[in-house]
Amino acid sequence: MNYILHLLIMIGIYLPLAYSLNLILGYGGLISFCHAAFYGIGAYTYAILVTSKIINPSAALFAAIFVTTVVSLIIGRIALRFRGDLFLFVTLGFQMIIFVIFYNWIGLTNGPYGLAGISRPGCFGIYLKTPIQYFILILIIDIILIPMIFILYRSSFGLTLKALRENEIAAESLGIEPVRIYYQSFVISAAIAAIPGAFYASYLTYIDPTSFTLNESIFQAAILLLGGTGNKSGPFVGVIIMILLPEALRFVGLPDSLAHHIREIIYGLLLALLMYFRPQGIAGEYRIAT
Amino acid sequence: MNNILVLNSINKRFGDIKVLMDINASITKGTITAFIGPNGAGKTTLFHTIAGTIKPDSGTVIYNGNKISGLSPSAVARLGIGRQFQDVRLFGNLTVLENIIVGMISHKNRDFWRVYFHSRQIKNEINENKKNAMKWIDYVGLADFKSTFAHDLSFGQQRLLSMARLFAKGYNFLLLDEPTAGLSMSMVNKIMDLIQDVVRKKNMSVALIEHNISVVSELASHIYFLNEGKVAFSGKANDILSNRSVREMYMGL
Repeated sequence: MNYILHLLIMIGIYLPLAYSLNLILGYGGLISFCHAAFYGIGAYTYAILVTSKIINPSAALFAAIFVTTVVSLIIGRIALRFRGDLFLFVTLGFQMIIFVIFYNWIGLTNGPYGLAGISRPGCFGIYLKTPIQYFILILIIDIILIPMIFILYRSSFGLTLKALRENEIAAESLGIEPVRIYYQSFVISAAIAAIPGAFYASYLTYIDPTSFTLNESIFQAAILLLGGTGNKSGPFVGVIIMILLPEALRFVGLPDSLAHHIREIIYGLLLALLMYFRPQGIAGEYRIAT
Repeated sequence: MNNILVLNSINKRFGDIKVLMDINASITKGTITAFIGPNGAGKTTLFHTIAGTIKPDSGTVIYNGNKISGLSPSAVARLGIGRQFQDVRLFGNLTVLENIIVGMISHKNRDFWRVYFHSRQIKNEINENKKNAMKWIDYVGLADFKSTFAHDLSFGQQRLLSMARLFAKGYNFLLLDEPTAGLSMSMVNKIMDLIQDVVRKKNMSVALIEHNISVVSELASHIYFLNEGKVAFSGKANDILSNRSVREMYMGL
């Protein structure tokens, strides 16, 4: 039971991550490889503030959003001078820089040893100890957060982003300012990523830099590329498959010594096959071109 | 003079190649002016310069009495100059209707925070735009395709959609880059009718690049003949088209 709840909580954490990344990657059509960095900044800001007992958990959550927003304002300014493959590489570079900071700024992040003892938020005097309580908390967060993202998807802002994705020069000729709109979507997508980051930290009560690597960013982009982009169902399908598929492979009954490697091979193969047969993703409506 | 657009000695070079040399031109309000000339004469570059996608090395573009050279393409568009591209440039994965309404959203209502704080106002605007967009979709004869993705339309239909997108936006001045290229005769006639119609009814002004001489003679009242980056001849359409040197240089007659 606890195992299932754990998976549900992880799905609950990844849904807003995927939906927020979808704003820039699916709607804007720019593949960003630094979403895990923003997720990590959210997690670390929360963890540092809570473990040092400077402020209470709810204030720390807002601080996490704030710090992530500020960092994304700086990164976005630079990265959005580029488009397509170049944008991908610039965001990849920032992802690596931020990972190096997590890993080496020992005074602040405790480096590779990570931060332990991150307290969970309490609400109305109830301290969220059990997985079921934490699951309910994540559920509530998702119920608030995801519809707010959906409002952006179907708004004038979302439509404008799609137009930029489809043809930036034509969009410009209709009076749309590309950088202004891209910048907004980049920064909100980062700010939203800070929220699951903070909840991830408080759920595990321990974080270290290995959760926020380039691999993690690629994993998050893969969720969208696999599930489909530019709509509501694609990220959902992607999250479910990417979180549950490795778990399902645990039950395949492989010999212990090889199990891990074979699982990775099957996992990779399945992803490659899916992309071959459905390049627009399982539930996607359009294909990302780089 | 009732000029909506004036070009004052525009110069542009790409590396060693002089693409535009001392171009002077003016376009009268409510008329159609054609820019003709052989390939590589600088016609499209000139349109890029007016639309702001290329900054001239020297010279100014004056629109409605204001200098617009140096502005960004989106700022130029917001002043009322619409642009049609040689290669249509639609939003392929958006429907016909979306292609049109996305252009009609007012500038401030594109910002994300307004989605939360002014949702009613945006909703009203979009509903209003939808009605207007449908009128233009009807006008160009694409009503049956309003929910079709733009990339599923035939090339001729895509041209019509790109026209509707321009007309719906309510520009005062249109830059049309070969609006009839690659179309069948009946489609060419349809597009010519559309252009003449908006010029007459909405008092739009049009600058047109066109290789099809019958289209030019039908539509344009003034012609600039460009050759090797310079204005070789300019004047009333009839005079230019009957000019012997023009006929020799351009039409090989």
